[in-house]
Amino acid sequence: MSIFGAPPGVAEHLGLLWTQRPAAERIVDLLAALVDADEMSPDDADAWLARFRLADADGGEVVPDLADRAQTVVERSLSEATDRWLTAQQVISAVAALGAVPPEKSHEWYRRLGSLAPASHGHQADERELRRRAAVAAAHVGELQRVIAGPVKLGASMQVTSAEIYEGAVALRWHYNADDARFPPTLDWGGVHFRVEDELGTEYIGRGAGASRLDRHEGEDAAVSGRDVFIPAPPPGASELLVEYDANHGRLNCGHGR
Amino acid sequence: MAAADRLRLARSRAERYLAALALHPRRDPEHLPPGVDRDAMEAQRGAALHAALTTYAELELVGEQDAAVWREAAEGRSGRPAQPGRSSPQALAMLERRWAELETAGDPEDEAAARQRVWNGLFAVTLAGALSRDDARSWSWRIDEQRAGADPTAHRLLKVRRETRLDDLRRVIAGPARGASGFTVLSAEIFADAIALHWRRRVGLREPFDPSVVSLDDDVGTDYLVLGAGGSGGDEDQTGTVVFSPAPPPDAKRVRVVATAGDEFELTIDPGGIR
Repeated sequence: MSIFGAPPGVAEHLGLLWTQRPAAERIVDLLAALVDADEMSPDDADAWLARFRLADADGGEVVPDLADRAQTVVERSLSEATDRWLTAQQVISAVAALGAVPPEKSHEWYRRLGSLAPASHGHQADERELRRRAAVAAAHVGELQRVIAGPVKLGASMQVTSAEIYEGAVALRWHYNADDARFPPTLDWGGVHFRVEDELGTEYIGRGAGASRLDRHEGEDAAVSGRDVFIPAPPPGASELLVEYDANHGRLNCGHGR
Repeated sequence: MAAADRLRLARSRAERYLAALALHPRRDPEHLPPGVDRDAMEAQRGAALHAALTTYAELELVGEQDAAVWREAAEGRSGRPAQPGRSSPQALAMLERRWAELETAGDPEDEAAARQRVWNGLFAVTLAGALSRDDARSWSWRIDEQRAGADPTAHRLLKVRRETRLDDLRRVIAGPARGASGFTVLSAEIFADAIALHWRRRVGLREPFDPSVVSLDDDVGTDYLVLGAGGSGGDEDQTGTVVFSPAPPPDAKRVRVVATAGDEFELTIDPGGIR
């Protein structure tokens, strides 16, 4: 099998398109351009097109021929799941992708796996982190209370521009100027950029973040702006937030009483 | 469907599942959007690929040799395509041929299709790492300018997009100011060359929302262009940003923000406020 009769970046892109099953005709011109630019052989282009056409023709039918063997593989994984929970999940996903059994059967496998205690999962540190993330995700972010204006500079490239205080959460808006068009590095699973504290010792947990980059067409630099959300909101007694980014520290007045 | 066709379909599904795991671009951590931990993601993806290959081998959908190819593909993912110092002559020639088709296109429909073919060609050879950074950029501009045609506003927007830097934040004006429709202006960041408005919108309002419809004007007649607009959110609310160029000029005292459903806000520059 050769699936790579193309430069790596092209193979990766085609591979991902293939999984998304766009109409095969959408890639005909892309393949033609690659052949025309001597970046892919006509045979390899034909092989890619054939793969897309086969994916196009996939109507989601169940393929029962593999059902018995698939069931055997999954049952074995489930029987070992107390020690290898994540592996069992991955095996079920791989089998489900084949369409060898009806979707309700796959759902039943997932339900059985889900009934096993999370503590039995394979990677304990990951599991703790996943539980923490689940708890954070379940936290309620309510009404907007107030907005505090910055900016607070945290080194040469980063500044927190404002803080939005919600019921149960605080969101830091930030702006980052990079000379190499990179996103600023993140800290942990939560994907946030800052450590946040207050003088009361409140534990602020990163709940998630988002960012977008404004690419300039001249030069290699870019501006990135984003928003990190932390749980909880500053408690009433906290007068300021202490924000750290890459060993740079700054303070934002909490604005109580405004 | 014959048994052989069913098996072919199952193999296609297996290959697509493996492709999603093995061919997902590896990116430098610095280029990852926030919220993505590359090491954890890579470890999980590697384990999932191993489990899938083992499963498919047992189901006789993937042979040993194929499994080695998939593993090699996963190891060799390259991330962003490298951009060479010099472009491939064949890549440039392909683009010129497509450009010639664009120049001779007859009606607007043909022209749009021909322009799309130039874009496709540019995308293909950029993915292949066959174009230098300079050539990729100049081809992108060439297509943008052709599309702008004789429209001066479109040309101005292209120029402003190329030149706006957002690297000199002058001040932040905090809201919130809530409109009757549920649209809230959270804050405004005034840069030397642009103004960014952060907004929030309660989602109960299920109708689609295009943040680029938000507009600005001021008391000195500045013509603001939307440089970029976007948002994200879940079941409860959405938040996002609209960036305009230029910044309010020094003699502007008030900036009016016109949002949706008749909501209007007034931004006072000095002292700063939003209402």
